Amino acid sequence: MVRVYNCHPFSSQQIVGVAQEPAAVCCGRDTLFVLCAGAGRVQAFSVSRQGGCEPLCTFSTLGTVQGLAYSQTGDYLATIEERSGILYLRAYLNWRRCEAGRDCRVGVRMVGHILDGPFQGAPKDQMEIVEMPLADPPTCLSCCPVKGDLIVGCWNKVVLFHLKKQILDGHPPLLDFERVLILHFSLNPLSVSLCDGCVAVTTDLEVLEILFKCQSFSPFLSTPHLESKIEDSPSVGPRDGSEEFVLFQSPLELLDEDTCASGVSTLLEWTSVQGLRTDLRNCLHVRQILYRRFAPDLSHIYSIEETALHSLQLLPMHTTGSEEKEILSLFCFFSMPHVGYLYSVGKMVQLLSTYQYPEKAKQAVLSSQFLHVITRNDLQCYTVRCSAVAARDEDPEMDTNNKACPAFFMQVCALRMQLFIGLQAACHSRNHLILLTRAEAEVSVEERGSKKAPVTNQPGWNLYCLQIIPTIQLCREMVEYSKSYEACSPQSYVHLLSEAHLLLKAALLEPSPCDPDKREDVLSAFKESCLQMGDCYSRLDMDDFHLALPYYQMSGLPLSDIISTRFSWENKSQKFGKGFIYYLKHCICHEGQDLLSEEMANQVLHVFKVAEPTYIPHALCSPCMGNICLRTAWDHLERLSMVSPSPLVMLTKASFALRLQDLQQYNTQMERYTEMKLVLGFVDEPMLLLCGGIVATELARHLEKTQPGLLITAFVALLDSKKLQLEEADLFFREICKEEGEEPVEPQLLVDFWEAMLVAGNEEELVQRLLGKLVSVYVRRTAARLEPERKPLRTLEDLISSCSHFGTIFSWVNFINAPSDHPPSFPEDLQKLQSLLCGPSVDVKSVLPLLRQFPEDNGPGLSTSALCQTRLGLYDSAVDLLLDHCPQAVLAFARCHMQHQNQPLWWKKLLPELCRRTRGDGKHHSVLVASLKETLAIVATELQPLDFLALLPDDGRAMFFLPHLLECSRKVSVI
Amino acid sequence: MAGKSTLLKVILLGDGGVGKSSLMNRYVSNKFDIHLFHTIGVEFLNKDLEVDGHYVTMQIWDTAGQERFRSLRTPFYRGSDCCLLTFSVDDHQSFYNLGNWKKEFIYYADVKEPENFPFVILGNKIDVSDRQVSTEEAQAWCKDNGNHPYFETSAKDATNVAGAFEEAVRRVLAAEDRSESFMQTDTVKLNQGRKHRSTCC
Repeated sequence: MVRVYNCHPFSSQQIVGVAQEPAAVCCGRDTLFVLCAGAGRVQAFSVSRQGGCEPLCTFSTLGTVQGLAYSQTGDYLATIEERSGILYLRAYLNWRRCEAGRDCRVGVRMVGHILDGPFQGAPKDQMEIVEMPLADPPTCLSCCPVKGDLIVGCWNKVVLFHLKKQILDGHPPLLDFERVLILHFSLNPLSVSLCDGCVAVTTDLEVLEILFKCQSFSPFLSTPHLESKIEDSPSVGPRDGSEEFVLFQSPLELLDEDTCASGVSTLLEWTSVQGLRTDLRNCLHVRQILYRRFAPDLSHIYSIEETALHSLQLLPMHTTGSEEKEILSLFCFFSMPHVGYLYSVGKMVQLLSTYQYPEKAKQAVLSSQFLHVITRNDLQCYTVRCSAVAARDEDPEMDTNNKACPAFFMQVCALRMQLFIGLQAACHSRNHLILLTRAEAEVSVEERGSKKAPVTNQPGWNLYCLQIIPTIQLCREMVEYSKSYEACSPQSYVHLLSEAHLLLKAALLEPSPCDPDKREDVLSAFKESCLQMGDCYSRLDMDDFHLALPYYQMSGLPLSDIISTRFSWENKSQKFGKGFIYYLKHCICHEGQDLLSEEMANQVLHVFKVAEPTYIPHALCSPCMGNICLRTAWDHLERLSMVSPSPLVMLTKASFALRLQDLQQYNTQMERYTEMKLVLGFVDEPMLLLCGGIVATELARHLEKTQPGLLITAFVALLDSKKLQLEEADLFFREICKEEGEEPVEPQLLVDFWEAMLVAGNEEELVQRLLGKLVSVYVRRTAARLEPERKPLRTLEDLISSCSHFGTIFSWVNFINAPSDHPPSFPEDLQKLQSLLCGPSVDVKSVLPLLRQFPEDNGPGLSTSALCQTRLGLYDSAVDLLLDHCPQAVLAFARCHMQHQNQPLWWKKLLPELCRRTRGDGKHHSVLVASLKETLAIVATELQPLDFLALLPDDGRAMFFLPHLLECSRKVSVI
Repeated sequence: MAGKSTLLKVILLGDGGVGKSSLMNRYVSNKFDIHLFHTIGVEFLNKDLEVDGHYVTMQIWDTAGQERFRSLRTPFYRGSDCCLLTFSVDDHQSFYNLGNWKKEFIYYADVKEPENFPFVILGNKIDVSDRQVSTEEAQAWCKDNGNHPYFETSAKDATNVAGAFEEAVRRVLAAEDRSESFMQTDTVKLNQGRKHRSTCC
């Protein structure tokens, strides 16, 4: 469906002053070429921005022009000309030198015969014609808008000419062409289009688009090679049908990779010297990216010619403001008599729009903003969706909360259909449309029969220059016009606004270096359009209400402006639509939002009261609402708590009670719910506790003093529900404990939090991080003999009973802890450390480096070292360590760890070691001897007498060892 | 300027330095520059004129006479309606070369019926005193080589220049068999049967 509106895209219409009847017209950005019918003469005009065409010069062609194309790059006009039955391909260079009224010499040369070397003389400042001989007669031609290269279609191939520029000192550059490659295919091109590495050709009913892709790109400049066969798929059936019948193949559309099934074979032939380089040969890929075949439109068929494709065009769009012509997106348009097709052929190959014309189109002209279609008596102006694609290609942030753009699949829209008698041809020049009309009725049968020429002072033809209205002005009109649809047809309203938005986006993407003021104007109009789009999506009850957010963001207006405008709206029901509330919520809760004034904050509160009262607590917690009148807020919360009480409401009330310094109220609110329920409230709205990243709220500070346990539980829950990261929580607790003067490196509250997290957490990676943090704190504080600045929330017993990571401390450790040289006032950290080391989870290897903080021989150092050795399975070292420093513990250690498969350690390690150490008489002699006795007793029960005997030292006193040997033997005899 | 007129391609050939460019300049701009540079490659000028009531755009193609420029000029012989073979009366060699120029033209222009193609012979520089080719000698050559009209001209003094070019036009218009291939016949009715008297010397 085509939506038809009645806007005014043209501001003025002037007649171009040509003396002779034009046969064809052709446009550059600021230039118009008019081919005079019959006379072999081309008249050039400059098309000024303000409208009107000023004659530049007139020059003659060498033959009858049958096709022409202008290239902005190189400023040349290429023609296909006929003379004496022969077709020529020529390019007219430096044509501006042909000043009107002067006899001008014109240089003529064959392609490749650039005047250098032996021919070098001073290049003359005169027009030059370059002739390019072709093996087959040319049928169609096109110039690349980016590089200025020329492509020519012949019988079953296209030939590419690269535009070469040669700079001689002090002279204008010499231009020439180089025949770079020939692409043969099983099609007979009737029209061709070229843009950078993309070639499109059409036959009567087929369209094929081919992409040349090269690593170093610019395939026509640097990478030709000789006869490289790229693809040779079998040709499909007889393309011409049989002798007597015309066979039409069924319609077909193939995109991207699928296009290789088109049945069109292609063969690449290199024709320049560089093509001999094999390294270049391998880097070029030729790929078919689009193929479409039509069946003749039988409902309108008169003859095959009448159903043929026409108006093939490739349109590039460039990166915003880029000096280099870097292509952002590429589009391809072609037209059947009654339908036009616009494809995106850049990053994605897809059909964008289908234009259904109300009557048979003669020609269509595509620009980045419009599609102008001429029929016999009608000029139609459609909008295009190119900028919707380009905007997305340009900005990956598009279609997020930050940016939006209307979709390209919106319904096609005709802005204007205007009566225009006898339209013959059209071309587009920046902001002008050139139209050639000819009153067909005037050529009567009688005149034809008598071969009389029409009388020249009664021209049946005219050449018009229509100025396209400035984008901003047209968009204003469209917005104004859209208002008439607002009530009755919201879809049309949105559609028109979207169309206007896309027009402005296209104007911004326009690479032409328009004056900066103008760009500023377009930019501000674009922002205004964003605001309108935002208003539209927020006002109407639309499915896409969430688009209000990105459009408002793109408008650049502060929240306060958007709110205050809205309050002036009359229609209450539309004031606070879904889209607006979505936007408002996002703004209120989004960091970086400026502090709202008291009035504005009260208004926001009012909005939520009307639209979504349950959101009031959330809004009130937002830092940008800091200026809110506390009493007003309290009243709102009071009302809300009556209607729908919840932990969140109560907590918010509590927080406001605090700000109102009403502790009694505070306590009342906090007592309404159990701690567990309150925690749910905090999870519902974390901003109750922290805002602006990690800044603690008043409520959090109060809780820290009065209910640290609740605060910690709340944070554990926040982490659990992924509303917070561990690092953020760490920073929060460091921050909240800061005020207490000389702040410790890790405040106890943070340690409490880590312990709580450990109790709750079950994610292995998180557990290890927490264990690392805790071990480090325990070690540091124990080694420095620091006391926690407050009583820890959890005792060791709590932790052991509630958390598997803390193990029961081995009994032998207590022997080490016991000595009185260690003040008993802070055993908690050490014990927690020991408990962790006795538990299953700690990675001992990561603990080892920390132990250097302990003096080696003191209790904590000894116990932790021994525990680590034990955990690592180094029992021998642990035994040595204990024997050296705390032999009292050795037996307990042995009983604890030397069991089962470790039992042999009793006699392999402990017994020999004790025997050795008891020989001297150190300070632990008595302890060692006692231990030895005990050990002997145990070994005696476990070993055979002979084995036991072998263990006994040679120099020992028999009296000492004999009882144990006896005991051992007795055991055997009993058995 | 004529609205619609017949386009005629007339090509000037002859040895380097015989005065082809000077003849063209004299005819089109009515100027003469004794220090004119060599022509490099091929250049042309358009001149609108009325001959015997016919509006004609004469496209005069000036070529480089030097042998080294041969490859630059020969591709453009095709499609010529008339060939002006030029020599200098003070340079015998340039006169001897006329035959070679004619052959070169017929070969590259791919002329189907050379005997019917309109050639016009120009003997330039008659203002110089030291003449090496006599009028009779030249006329005899023209008579023997296809009965071409012969003009003695001086680009320096403007002697006979316009007459020579106009005769070329008449010769073309007179060539009956070529009249159908003119680019534009809508506005100009050619009086094909009419004979013109040559103003040869």
